[in-house]
Amino acid sequence: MDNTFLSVKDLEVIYTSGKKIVRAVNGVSFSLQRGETLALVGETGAGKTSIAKAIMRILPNPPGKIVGGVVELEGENLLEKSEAEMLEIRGERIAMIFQDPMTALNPLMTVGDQIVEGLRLHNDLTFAEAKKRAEEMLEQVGIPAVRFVEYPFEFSGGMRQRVVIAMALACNPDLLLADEPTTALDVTIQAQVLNLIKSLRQKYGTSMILISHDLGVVAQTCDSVAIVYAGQIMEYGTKRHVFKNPCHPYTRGLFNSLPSMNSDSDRLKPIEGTLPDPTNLPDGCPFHPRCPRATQECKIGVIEPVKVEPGHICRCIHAGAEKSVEDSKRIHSGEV
Amino acid sequence: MAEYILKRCLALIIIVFATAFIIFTILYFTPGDPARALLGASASDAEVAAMNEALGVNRPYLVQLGDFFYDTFIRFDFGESWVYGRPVYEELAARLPRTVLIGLSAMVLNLFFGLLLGIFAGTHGSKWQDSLTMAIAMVFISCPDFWVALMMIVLFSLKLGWLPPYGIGGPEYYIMPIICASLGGIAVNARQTRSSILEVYREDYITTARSKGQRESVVVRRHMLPNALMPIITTIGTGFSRIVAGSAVIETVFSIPGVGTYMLSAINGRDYPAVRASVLFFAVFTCIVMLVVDLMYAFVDPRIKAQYSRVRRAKVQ
Ligand SMILES: Nc1ncnc2c1ncn2[C@@H]1O[C@H](COP(=O)(O)OP(=O)(O)O)[C@@H](O)[C@H]1O
Ligand SMILES: [Mg+2]
Repeated sequence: MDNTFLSVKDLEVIYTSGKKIVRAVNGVSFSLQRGETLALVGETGAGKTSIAKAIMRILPNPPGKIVGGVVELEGENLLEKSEAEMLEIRGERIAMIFQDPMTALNPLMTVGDQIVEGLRLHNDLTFAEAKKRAEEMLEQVGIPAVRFVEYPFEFSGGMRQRVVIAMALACNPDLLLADEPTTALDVTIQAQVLNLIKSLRQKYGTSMILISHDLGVVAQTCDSVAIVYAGQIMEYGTKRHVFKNPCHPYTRGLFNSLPSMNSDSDRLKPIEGTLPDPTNLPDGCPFHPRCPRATQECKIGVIEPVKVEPGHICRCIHAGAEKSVEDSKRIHSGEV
Repeated sequence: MAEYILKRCLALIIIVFATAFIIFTILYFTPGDPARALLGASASDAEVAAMNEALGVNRPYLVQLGDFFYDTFIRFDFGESWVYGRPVYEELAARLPRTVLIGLSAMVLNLFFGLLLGIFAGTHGSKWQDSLTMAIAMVFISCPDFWVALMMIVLFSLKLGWLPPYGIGGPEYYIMPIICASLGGIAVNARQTRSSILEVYREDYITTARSKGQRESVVVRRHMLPNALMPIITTIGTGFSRIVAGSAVIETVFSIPGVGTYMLSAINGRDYPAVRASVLFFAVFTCIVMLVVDLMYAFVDPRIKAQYSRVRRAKVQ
C-alpha cells in the first residue's frame, strides 16, 4: 500500500569554506506521494535550496557535500547511484526550476538550443524533431515558437522563467523541484507563472516540491507543508493542519508576520532576531534564541519531532502532545 | 553591424590623429637643440644655426604642425631621417615585418598558452595543479622581460648552443625573441582565464545545465568555456599593447633591427622624423589589432551583435 514516491530521510548537507563548516541541512525527513505537492517554507538561508540540490545531487562540490541521509525515488536510494546513473535521472525524472530566471539561462545560447539540449539528452531525437518539440513547449508556456532562435537577454524576467519552466518540463519529469519560481518576478507575473506551473503539472501528473517563503503562494498551490528553519523541519503536515493549527512558535511567527485583510490589528509582528549562524548552531532547538516560549529545556540536547495529530508533526517540546520514541521513529522513516 | 564597424574605424582615425598631435608637440617642446645634437659639440654656432634653418625647426609651432600633418596624412610622406638622410619610409618598411612578426606571433602564443593554462588551472580549481600553474604564472609576471631574455641567451645559446644568441637570419633567430615577448602575457592571460572560469563555475546556468543531466565535460565545454572566455577577448587588446611596449626591449636585447630599436636610436639621436614615424606605426598597429579584437567580440557575443543589428531589434518588438 506504500504509495510513497519520494522519501527523504535524515538528509544532511554541509558547505566547507576553509576551516569553517556551514551546516545547511541537518537531518531533514519528508515524503511525497505521486502527484502531491509539498511546500518547503522558510527564510532565506534556511537551507531550502540545498535540500533541492541535494535531491538532484547538483550541489556545487566543493564546497557543498551531502554527509548523511537517504533520498529514495520509488524505493531506490539516489545517494548511492553512480554519476552516470544520475545523469539519466536528472532532467528526465527530476527537473528543477531555479530561483532567479535572470541568471538561470546561459546568455550565449538561444533559448531554443537550451531546451533542445535537455530533450536530446534523454530522448533519441534528431535536432529537427527536438526543435519541433521545443517549439511546442514554448507555445505551451505562452511564448511564440518563432522566438526559439532568440537569446535570453531578449526576454523579460517573466518570459525567461517561462523558458525555464518549458525546459524543466520538456522531458516530462515525474518530480519537479521549483525553487522559489516566482520570488524574482513582479507580483502580476507571479500569479501567471504559478498558474502555468499548476496547470502544466496537472496535465502531466508531475509531483512537485515547491520552495517558497511566501505563505500566500503555498496556500494556493500545495497539499502539504514543511516549515524549514536552520536546516531542520520545524513543522510538517498537510496544508490544512499547518494553516489551521500551526503548532510551532516559528510557524506562528511566520503567520503573524503576514499582513492580513481581516485582522483588527494593522501592525505586523515580524519575528525578532535573525537566523542563527549556520557555522555555529546553538544547542537544543535552533529557534530558541528568538522564541517567545523558550525555556531552559529548549537550550539543551536534541529536540525530537512530536506528533500533534495524525499527519501533523512539530519539532517543539511545547507543542502539546505527548512525545514518544515510537513516534519519532515513525516520523523519521517518513510515514506520518 | 556596419554601423558598429564604421564607428570603430572612426575612433581609430581619431586616435591616430591624436597620437600624431601629441608626439609632435612633445618633440617640439623637448628642450635642447636638434642641430646641436646632430652636429656634435665641436660644431660652430653658425653651423648649428644653418642646420636648424635647413631642418625648418625655427618656424612657428603651428606652421610646423600643419606641415607635419599635411606631409604625413595627405602625401603619406614621413620625411627624411635627419641622421642618415634616407627616407624614413624606406627604413621603416625594411624593419616593420620583423616587429610585426614578433608582435603577432607573441600574441598568438599569448592567447593559446594563456587560455590553455588558465583553463587547466580553472577546471582544477584549488587543487595542486591549479596552485602550481598559478605560482609559475606569478613568477613570469614578476620577471622583467630583458632578464628572461638574457637568461635564455645564456642557456640556449651559450650553454646548449641550440639557438643563435642575436641578430637576424633564418626563422631560428626569431624563436627566443617571440617566446620572451609572450611569456609575461601568457602568465597574465592564464591568470585572467582562470579567475574567469572560477567565476562562471558558480553561475546559476551551470547548475541549470547540470540539472538537465548534461555530462560534466560537456557542461564545461558548452556552457562554462564560452562564457568564461568572452571577457578574455577584451583583454587581448591590452595584452597586445603590452607586447608592443616591450618590443623595443626585446629587439635591443636580441639585436634585431626592428621598429622598436629604430625608435630608440632615433630618440637618442634626436632624429625627429624617425621618432614620429615609428611612434605612429606603433599606434596604428595597436589600434588595428584592437579594432579586430572588438569586431571579434561583437561578432561572438549575441548581446553586442543584437545591439547593432536593426533587423533583430525590429523582430523582438
Ligand atoms: N555555495 C555555498 N557555499 C557556502 N555556503 C553556502 C553555499 N550555498 C549555500 N550556503 C549556505 O547554506 C545555507 C543554506 O542556504 P540555501 O540552501 O541557499 O538556503 P535557502 O535556499 O533556504 O535560502 C546558508 O547559510 C548559506 O549561506
Ligand atoms: Mg534558496
